[in-house]
Amino acid sequence: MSDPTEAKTLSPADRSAEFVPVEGGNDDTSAGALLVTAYLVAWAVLFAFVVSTWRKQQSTLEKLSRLDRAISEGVPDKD
Amino acid sequence: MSKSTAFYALVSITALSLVGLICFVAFETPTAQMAAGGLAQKIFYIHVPSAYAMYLCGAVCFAGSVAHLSGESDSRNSVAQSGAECAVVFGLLMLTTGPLWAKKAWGVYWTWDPRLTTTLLSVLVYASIVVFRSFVGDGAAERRAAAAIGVLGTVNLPIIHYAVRLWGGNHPTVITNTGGGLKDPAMTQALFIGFFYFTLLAILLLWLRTRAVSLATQASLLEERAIAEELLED
Repeated sequence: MSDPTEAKTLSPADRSAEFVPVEGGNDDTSAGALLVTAYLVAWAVLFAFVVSTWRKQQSTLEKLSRLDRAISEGVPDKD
Repeated sequence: MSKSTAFYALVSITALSLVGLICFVAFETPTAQMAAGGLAQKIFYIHVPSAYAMYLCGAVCFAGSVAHLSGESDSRNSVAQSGAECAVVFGLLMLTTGPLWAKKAWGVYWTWDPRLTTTLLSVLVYASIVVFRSFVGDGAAERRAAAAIGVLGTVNLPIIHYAVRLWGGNHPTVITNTGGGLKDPAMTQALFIGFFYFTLLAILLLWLRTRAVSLATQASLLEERAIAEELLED
């Protein structure tokens, strides 16, 4: 029995211009829902990355200023 | 122009181009034929540019890694690390948007097509750099090892690009003289707006991450000094 997700064999020239369904697949999912999901997921991933970078940067800046103060004043850092 | 002014100018232009891209894709680009996924084909305008942005960040990781291996420095290490991190983010975008479009165009979310498989491999290589750096620390040997993986990981990028031309599979070659299926000028324009937006976004994220890594390096150097001066417990 053949693999239901096996791709049809196409020449490179055909593949460059065609979208060929995989055998055994189905396309009953709403195109609009897929489109909205793709755009939402993309912006959510980017937003999460920017927010996590910003938060890490803020905590590093705080740590830097604490260490700077401790070194310049010669007072041990309690945090 | 100061660095801060340039940064906020870049943020503003990136935000404007994002709005431009969404409006153009929503109102100007026509819906593609059902074989290409119909309405879902509009995922193309973020899917392809995110692949391109991954290549761009992979190239930055490669350049930083080669530079670091040829002469070690904190700034080169920061560039290599931020390149790998941003390559993972854009790789994840590509690997989430692609399957959603494939569900409509091919009928399945995933198939072990050569291009999909080599792309997954490449994202895993960059993810391994990020995980490696998170867990093994930031010593000179660890930095060199991460840089070596960064150089090796980039070798896979041309393989991804040519995989679809060399081997069988479902993925279209996308951008060739004959391929891509961009029959309407608005489709080509939307793709180029997407490339413009993702170029700015990649520069912005690389800038942010390089600065974050540099600050973390400064903090660890100060921490070592504070420990040496007994101002901080080991």
